[in-house]
Amino acid sequence: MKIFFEGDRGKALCEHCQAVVPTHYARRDVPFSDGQGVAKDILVGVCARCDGVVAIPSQSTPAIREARKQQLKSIEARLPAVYLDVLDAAMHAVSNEAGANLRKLFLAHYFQQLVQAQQCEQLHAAHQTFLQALDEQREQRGLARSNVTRRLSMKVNPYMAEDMLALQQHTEMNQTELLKAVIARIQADVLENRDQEVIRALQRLARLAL
Amino acid sequence: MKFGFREAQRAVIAALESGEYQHVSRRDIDVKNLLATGEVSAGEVAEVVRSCRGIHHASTPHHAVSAIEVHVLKRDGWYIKFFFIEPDTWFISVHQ
Repeated sequence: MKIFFEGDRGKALCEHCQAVVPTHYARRDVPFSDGQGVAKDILVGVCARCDGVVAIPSQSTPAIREARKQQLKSIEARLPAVYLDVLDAAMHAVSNEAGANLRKLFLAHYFQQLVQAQQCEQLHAAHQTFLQALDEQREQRGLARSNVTRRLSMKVNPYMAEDMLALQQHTEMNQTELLKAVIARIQADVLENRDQEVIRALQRLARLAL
Repeated sequence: MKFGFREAQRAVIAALESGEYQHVSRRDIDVKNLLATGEVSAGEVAEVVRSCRGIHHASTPHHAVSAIEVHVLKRDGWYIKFFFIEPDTWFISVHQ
């Protein structure tokens, strides 16, 4: 593998100049094309005519990969405590070693599945069913609705953030409502219906992550 | 130099195996170039290229610099677009 150094010279195709141009290699901050972040101080080939970045040698890929992973988005939500109890109970049912540390992984898995299977329209119904079941249980025992909330805080990668945004757009839910609806769906799949296919997939995930 | 499918396949596999390749940049890092972003490895891309046959290959002159032949391989949902400017192989796009 040829290693490039700052000051090395070469040639590359410059789309801006529409020509094969002489280049020199230098360190630059280069943005990602989707606007999500920047890979800082990576070695690149620069067009001698327009000074634009025109080449990325393969040796810069590990730094790009690392920069991409660092573009984490913070998700903060305050949910009725029962939702996090139910999420943790579902995770525990999948694997007794799965604790709160795997919440993000389970939610990310569901976000991705819901986007891929285009099943987000079922989320409203799952959430309504869950709410009704909670109300029925409270009524049977003569309990009032609780106002106790718990905070869900996660740093998510661009892919999970993208899936979440897509689901929010499709369902017209805000972030908190979406999280509640997805937890209701996880509860239905894992605790109510005991869907073995879903449980096996989550067990595989948990084994990888533990 | 104009490469046919076999020559292009041989050259791009050799480049992937030796690490002697670069990525085209239009002042940014194209997130559709999964080899540049490290989401797929050179070995994985080489496997896809190795599995290609002539029917999976097409090439056209570059729209601005006609001396450069742009090669496209489409196989099993993969889309791999590259060209050669000696001594390197240049990837434009590698995605699924």
